[in-house]
Amino acid sequence: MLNGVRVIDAGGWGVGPIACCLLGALGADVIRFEPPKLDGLYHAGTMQGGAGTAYITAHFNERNIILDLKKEEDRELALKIVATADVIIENHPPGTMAKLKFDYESVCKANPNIIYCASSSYGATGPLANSPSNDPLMQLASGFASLNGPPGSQGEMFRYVASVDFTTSLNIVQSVLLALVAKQTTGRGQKVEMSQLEATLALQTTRISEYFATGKSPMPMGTANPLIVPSQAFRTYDNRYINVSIYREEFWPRLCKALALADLEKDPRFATNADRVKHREELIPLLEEKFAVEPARWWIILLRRNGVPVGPINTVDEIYNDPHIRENKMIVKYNTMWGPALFSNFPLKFSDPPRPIKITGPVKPDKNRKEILAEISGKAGKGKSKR
Amino acid sequence: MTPLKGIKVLDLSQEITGPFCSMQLSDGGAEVIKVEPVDGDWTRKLGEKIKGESSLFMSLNRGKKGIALNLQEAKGRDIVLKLAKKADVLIEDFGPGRAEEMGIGYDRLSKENPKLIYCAISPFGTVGPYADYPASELEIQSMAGFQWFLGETGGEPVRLGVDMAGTTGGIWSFIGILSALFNRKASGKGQKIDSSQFLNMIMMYTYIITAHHNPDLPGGWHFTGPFDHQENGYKTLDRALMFGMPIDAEKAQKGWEEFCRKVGLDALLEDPYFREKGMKMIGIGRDAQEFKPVIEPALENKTAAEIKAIVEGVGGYSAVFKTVEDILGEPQVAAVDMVQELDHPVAGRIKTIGIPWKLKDTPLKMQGPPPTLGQHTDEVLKSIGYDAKEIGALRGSKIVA
Repeated sequence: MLNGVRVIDAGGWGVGPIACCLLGALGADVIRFEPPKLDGLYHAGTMQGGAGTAYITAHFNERNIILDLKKEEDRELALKIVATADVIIENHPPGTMAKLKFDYESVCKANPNIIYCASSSYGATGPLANSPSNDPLMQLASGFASLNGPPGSQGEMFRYVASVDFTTSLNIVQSVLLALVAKQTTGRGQKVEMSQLEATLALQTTRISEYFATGKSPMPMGTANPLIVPSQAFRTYDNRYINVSIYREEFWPRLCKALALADLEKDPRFATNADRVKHREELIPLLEEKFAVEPARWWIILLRRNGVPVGPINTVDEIYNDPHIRENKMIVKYNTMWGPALFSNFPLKFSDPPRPIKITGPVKPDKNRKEILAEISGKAGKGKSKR
Repeated sequence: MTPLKGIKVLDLSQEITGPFCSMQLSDGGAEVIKVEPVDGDWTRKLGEKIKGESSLFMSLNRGKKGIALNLQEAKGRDIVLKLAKKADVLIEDFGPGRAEEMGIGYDRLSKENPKLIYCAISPFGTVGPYADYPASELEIQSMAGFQWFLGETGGEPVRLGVDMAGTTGGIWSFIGILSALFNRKASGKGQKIDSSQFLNMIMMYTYIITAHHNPDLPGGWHFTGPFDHQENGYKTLDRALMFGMPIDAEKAQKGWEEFCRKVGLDALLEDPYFREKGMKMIGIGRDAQEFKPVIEPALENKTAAEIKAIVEGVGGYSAVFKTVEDILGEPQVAAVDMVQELDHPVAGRIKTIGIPWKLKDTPLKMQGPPPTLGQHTDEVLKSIGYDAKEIGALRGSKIVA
């Protein structure tokens, strides 16, 4: 897809690097500028083989060279590499890159057609522009966390997945792709700015629409949905839960049939989704009563057989062993210098070339110094690495 | 110039994922024709209304032309075939195999238009045992393990309030489409993209998958037991908040002691355990949960803003659980242009969430309000050669609306 595109990962922690890895999966040649003390993520969280597992996760599909941008010699070398690149991505606190003389204006002197993507916490301008943040803090500050939790609560943070960080990475990929497509016409690079706040607000689009209509903030509803009834978890006989959503009208008669509740299907109070939203309090106890008489597994099989949307609550181990995930090769394993490591595979499938487009495991910091230096000195030509 | 100027998108999808994707393509400058069933996209019937128009629908469909077609009828599908000949991108979410059955599958369309980029969105993709299962946001979240990190052990399950599978499914589809557009410049050919909401969510799980299978920890890093407490912060007089001390050990110790004095927890400092460990226990995780009974009584007479100011005054960090109303009222949101207004023909002046990416050389701009049902049917049909009489007949037989 992105063959011939060279991307520089000048970011830190998760947000910038994951975006670079994904561009790498799409075929770009990604070179990571690693700081001499190695990235913060290398030293944080749960460790394997001496490295933080999150660092291992966030650096597949990259080549690596250690550069100390504070040293003039390394900075010049870095600019030479940037001169051969199409894209540079950074997500450091505002002002960091300017202090290193590695901001857009400085880099432009080495490569006027560079696409320079700067990702911040709150955006490049405004009263909070210089405020730092991270995934948990932004979850709370952006309203994202206020939408999770039991009914009547003030919200709760989504643990461990770093979904706000990940969404920001995806937004970096989107904005860089837009700039790459634009460059095909204009021939020019440009500066691209985006932030975790902006990405997280866009992520909340559907829920914020409720506020725009009513002037009231949407509040947590456990697993229930303000717009669709039923769409929630039900407790089953074996004290487990299954999620069931009648998100299109065609599913309602199927659910009634599967539950052997023919009367419900004929009941005008529950005829359409709008009716069911109105009579939520009357309907849900009837369904709860029914689901409580058989175990989760029973209902999952029965509802699937009847074409009703149903979802078990999977654990990490269940995901690892899931037959659908297996058949789609959604989890891949690499032997890294820190030991074997598992990753999610790239999720999109293309007809040409098919998936996996390109996945390589993370490498030892500075592993690719020689070849990168050879490339920029012209010995290997300006051609991009074939690896 | 906008990046996607001149790109024609034909969007046959409904609900959240496809429409979110094509809205972002419209923001990027593409010309998007949204094809709805004659009774409208399902989201038109859902949720809160503004002068009878669904706020949910409007939040997902700005800047598109809207036509309404009955695809159950051959004459309706003929219109799709004609539009697809002129399109650069087609988006559909009929489900695996359905478009082929309807005679508008990729193989047929690409024969007549080899440059077409065809994005098929589905809950589970086209391969694997779940391919034909229906699923909505809630089921995808739970099957992708997202409910495992919300709620309290033994309590009722909790979902993510945002439509994560729907919205990020749209983002992934956008990424696929733009990559294919970039590639087409060199190859001259379009292609098919399969975008599965479930697989997209598993990608987002990648940190968890690596950490959980850490070979240095017997059995991996367990995301159970000590890690399964609900992270709902500390209660205060008003809003709940979370906070912690600086990472630097010396600053953390000093900050912690100062914090305790300022909130009246001086007595804690006399206990060596709390004096030394307290600053590490207040952030997030098991310790913070267990520490709650000790610390919450000191916070209950202060507002979250007051506590936040104290924490930041001693060099720590904190965040208050903000509501949607809180954050949209922040001057920062206006500064980055994340709430914008559009004039809708029926609903009047409506608010919409802005465009998250700022491209300095080719700035993005919203192209207009969301369409009313069938608003551009005549205009679009005329552009592919139908005359007024033919359009009247199609409308009479309910093939278009």
